[in-house]
Amino acid sequence: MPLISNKSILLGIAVGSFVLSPAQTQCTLPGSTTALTVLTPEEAGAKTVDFITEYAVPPGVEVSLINVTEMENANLYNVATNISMLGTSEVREVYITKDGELLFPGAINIEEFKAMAELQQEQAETQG
Amino acid sequence: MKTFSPDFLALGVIIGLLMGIAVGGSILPPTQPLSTPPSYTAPDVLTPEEAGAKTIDFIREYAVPSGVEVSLVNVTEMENANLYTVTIDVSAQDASEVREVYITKDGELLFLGAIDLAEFESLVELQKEQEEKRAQEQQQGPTIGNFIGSADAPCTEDGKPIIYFFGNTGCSACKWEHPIMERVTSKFEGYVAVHDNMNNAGTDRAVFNRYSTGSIPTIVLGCQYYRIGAGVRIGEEQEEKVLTALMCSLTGNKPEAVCTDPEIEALIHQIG
Repeated sequence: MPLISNKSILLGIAVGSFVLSPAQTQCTLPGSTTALTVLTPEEAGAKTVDFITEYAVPPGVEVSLINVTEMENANLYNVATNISMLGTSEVREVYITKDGELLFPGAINIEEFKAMAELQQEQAETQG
Repeated sequence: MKTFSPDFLALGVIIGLLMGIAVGGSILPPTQPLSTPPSYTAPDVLTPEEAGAKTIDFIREYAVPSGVEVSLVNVTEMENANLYTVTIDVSAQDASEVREVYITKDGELLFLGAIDLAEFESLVELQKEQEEKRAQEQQQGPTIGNFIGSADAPCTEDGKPIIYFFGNTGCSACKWEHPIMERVTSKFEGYVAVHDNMNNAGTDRAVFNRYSTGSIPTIVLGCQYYRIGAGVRIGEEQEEKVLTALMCSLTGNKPEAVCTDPEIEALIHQIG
């Protein structure tokens, strides 16, 4: 279950011990009157992969970028990564603010989750 | 020894929330009515109050075990993302912790935690520096009672050396050590300032991070001597004498009635 895998990211981050070297530039938002630091999708993807590689996974685990998309309802980048080790791999989605300040290790779709929980409950009642 | 680092505690809560969600099975109460501010063209936008209620309901239902109480502290808008920051208080038994979670303004996605990348990097840097410092101090060897001498400036409060104790009642070594600390510090009333951080991870966090690897109990005496772990191996009686001697060395051998005891004086002479 993808949610559970967030633990490994958080735990990995807690034991990470090196410094990130972010590739970051500044640009101005079109139509904005104030200059804000906004990463391009490529920069956001690189920063995310760098951070996860440095802090969130043990040595030997490879992290690669799949793609970066803009989230319409949150003004965030959705960064899809592939985390692989010893022939197994998993696609993980993390989220980063466009200024590259905050990283969200995982998201829960509330309605989907509720539906899944309801289904599980129904199945449990049927089996019981 | 039990892990006690505030950072780990914070992560523990997030992990707990995630685990709780994975095993949660109840049904969320009906969703809140939606409102659409006239200036916003998106289909549905929750008010901060609705977002807070939805978040709290979800966490209560799915993310925490029974017995854990979750209450709303406040809801604010994030400047750099189209999200609400929902501050919650998670409490169980005697412990409580304030956490921030995030929800999209349409109430669709919930983020149980965020990492401030720059803050995290500087924290890691600081931890590395402190680890190196501890390693250097440990290379010089311990003094009495396995305490490590520190090269830091003495820490005082109103001119009195500060005695820090970090632990919690869920840790048997802490429970062993704590009454000894209380007995010894009571002999130095008026001569030392006691910061008893039993069951209180938030206080004196910087001091804890400086001297501890994240384990408890951790004892810091005037920022001149510290030890991670209890003195169980030398026994209660000797531990009391060691702590007394170390505190005497911090107070300039005051009070005299305590520090002129021959056994204590002998120990004071052993301090490097």
